[in-house]
Amino acid sequence: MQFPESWLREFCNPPLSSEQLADTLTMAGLEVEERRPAAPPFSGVVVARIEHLEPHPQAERLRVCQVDVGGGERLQIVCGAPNARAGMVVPCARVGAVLPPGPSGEALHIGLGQLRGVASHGMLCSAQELGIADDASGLLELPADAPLGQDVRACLQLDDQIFTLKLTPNLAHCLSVYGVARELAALTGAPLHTPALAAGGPHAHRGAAGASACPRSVRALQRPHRARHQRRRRHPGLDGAAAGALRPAQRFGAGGHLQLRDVRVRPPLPHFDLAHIEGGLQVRWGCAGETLQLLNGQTVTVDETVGVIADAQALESLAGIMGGAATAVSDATRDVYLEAAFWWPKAIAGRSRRYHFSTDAGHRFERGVDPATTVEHLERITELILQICGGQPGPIDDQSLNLPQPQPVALRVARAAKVIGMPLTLEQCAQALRRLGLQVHEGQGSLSVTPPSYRFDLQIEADLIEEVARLIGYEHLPHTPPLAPVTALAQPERRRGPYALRRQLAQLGFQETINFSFVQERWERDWADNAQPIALLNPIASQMSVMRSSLLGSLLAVLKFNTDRKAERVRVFELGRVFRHDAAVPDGPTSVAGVAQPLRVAALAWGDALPLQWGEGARSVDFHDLKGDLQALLAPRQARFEPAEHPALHPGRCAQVWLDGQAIGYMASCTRAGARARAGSRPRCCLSSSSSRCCSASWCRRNRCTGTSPCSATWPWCCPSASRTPNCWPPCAAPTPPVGSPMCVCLIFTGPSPTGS
Amino acid sequence: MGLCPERYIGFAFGMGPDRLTMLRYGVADLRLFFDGDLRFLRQFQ
Repeated sequence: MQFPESWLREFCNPPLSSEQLADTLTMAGLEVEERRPAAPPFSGVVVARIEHLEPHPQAERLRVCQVDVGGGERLQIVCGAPNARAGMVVPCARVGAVLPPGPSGEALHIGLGQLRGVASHGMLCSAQELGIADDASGLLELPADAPLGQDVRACLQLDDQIFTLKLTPNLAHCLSVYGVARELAALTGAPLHTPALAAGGPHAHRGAAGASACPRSVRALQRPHRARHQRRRRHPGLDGAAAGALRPAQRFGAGGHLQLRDVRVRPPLPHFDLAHIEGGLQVRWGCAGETLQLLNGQTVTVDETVGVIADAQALESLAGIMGGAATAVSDATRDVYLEAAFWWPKAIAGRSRRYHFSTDAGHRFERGVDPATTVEHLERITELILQICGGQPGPIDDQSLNLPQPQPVALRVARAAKVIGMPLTLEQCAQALRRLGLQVHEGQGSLSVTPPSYRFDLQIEADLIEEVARLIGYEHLPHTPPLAPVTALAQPERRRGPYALRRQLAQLGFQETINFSFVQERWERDWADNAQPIALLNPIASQMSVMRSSLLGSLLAVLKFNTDRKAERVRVFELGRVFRHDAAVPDGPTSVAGVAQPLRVAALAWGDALPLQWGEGARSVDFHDLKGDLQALLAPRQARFEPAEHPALHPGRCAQVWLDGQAIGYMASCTRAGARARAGSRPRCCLSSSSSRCCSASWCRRNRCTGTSPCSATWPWCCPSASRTPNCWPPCAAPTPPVGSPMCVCLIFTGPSPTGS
Repeated sequence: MGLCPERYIGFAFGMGPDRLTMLRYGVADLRLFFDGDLRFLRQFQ
């Protein structure tokens, strides 16, 4: 929401500087995002009139102008602009002027110069050279009655500050300059000036025939109107203001647009070319399949949920959003049909997003406009049009159907004090609300407020509390440091938390990685044998479309990432959550029905067993290295290793780890894919286990070896088909890896789903 | 949540530990933490 400060001060002019004004607005919730001058600083540019032109003797495109700069002074200036003509009033940069920096970044100093042999005592400027707009097609034309010799900054009010407000959706009543002025008056106590409106044309009330989307619509016929050459009415500093003369139709649109930004007019006023309307205009819901070509060139198809304005033949506009191209006002327009309406926000919300564009009008109607002032707004724009373009107003047709009725809202003072956090009295609350212009009825410890029609956002008690807090001022809130009893949560010493696990794994030489919980579907099929992963509705990317039920995929991806970058030795682990469907999980404050989310830990080792050192020869990491690491992690408890099968792991090289009679994970050397020499020729080890089992390692308990000795749990490397049955371990010597073949050692642990962490 | 709004009033807000780490260590790209590049991760020991 942009507006120049001078417009705001027309309605409410508190004795504050520009900066203090911005501060006040920001502290009240209307964040001033940007405050910039209407034009970049420049000096020495005055209003001048071209008296006489003659072609330049040496150059074809240049002309020598005699320019009157006021005070009887005439300067000779050489100018190349195509639109220069005698009698034109333009900005003239005199010798010594400093213009804003151009594309080179340096300020432009104007000096006495010669262009092709003819002296030039200055420069005539375009809007782009002054930094006002991007139009460099010709000289900037000033109003014909501007005093010659006046500084252009004063003439065009370029020292004005342009405010850009970032408004939250609940502050829709501030989407007009008058609305902001209203807030400012409430905040500072400065008086609010309401502009007087001239009386308009006759009213003719007809029977109601509108749709439920539009409780109130007011139309006025303008006829006939003659387009006249008009001077610019918009503030030159606003973005998009075209320098130079605007075409009449654009001026008409500009008049409407001017209105949009100006005064209290929040309902944007669509206008239609009367000649293109057949029969009367009707407000209704669309019918499926009807199409409409809009002003922005897009053709949209509507259905029953979109409101439209239609005539007897075709659709004319999307209700509350954008008008149609067929009835757009153009240069040839003579009669204009204006419409001001109040639309129910729910009827407009979301419709323009469906068609992938958004308009200022839609933005305002979605948030709601003031239904009580539609007639006044129509009168005002009628007045503006009559002033600018002439013509005669036609009768106003006002249809009010189902208008929203403001409900009184009660505010309990004690509750307000509790929510805001500072002591409040009834008088303070009442005074704050009255400053906003609300009607307050005081009761016993509570207030009742009937919000006016322009404050449709006040619907529940919390809204009133917010207004009270806003007006009292957030900077007046007392500092209350929170007091909470701090008691140490003693963890049972027999439990190890995840951080202890992480530290231990790090000490064993693994590097923690954090990976996304979203993985590719292929990984779930290949590494976890999970044909039913939990799929995401809105994945970030197609490779991250399901939730992982195993940490293995992520770790293998980390391995690949590092080996792609010539890493020599990779030892990584991750402690994170995996997600599986589990019908037994109930809904609760920390759980989701049907989804098990246990914490798992997984580790992977690849490359040399030890970093390069002189104590031992280099050798690849193998199963036993990682088994030792796992035993160190689980110490002092002892695990049992038994051969098993896992979908991701090479059969015959995979073991299941048992702790106290419960399987807590898998450990293996080499994945199935790894055996097919996927990742090169270096050994690889992964281990992943259920973190809860590791966490409950008991330090004090002595463990007994159960059953067969776990230390002899080796198995033959060379016989993949052997050892399917547990407890059948022929003790054998440490195997020698086959020379030349890729030997990968992987350990993976996956455990049953534990309860809790 | 099943809590009575009359009795309980609270704030909700969030902070990312990775964002704070970025501020503390001057890391420019958040994705570096999740790539798994050991050359980067080793610097945080």
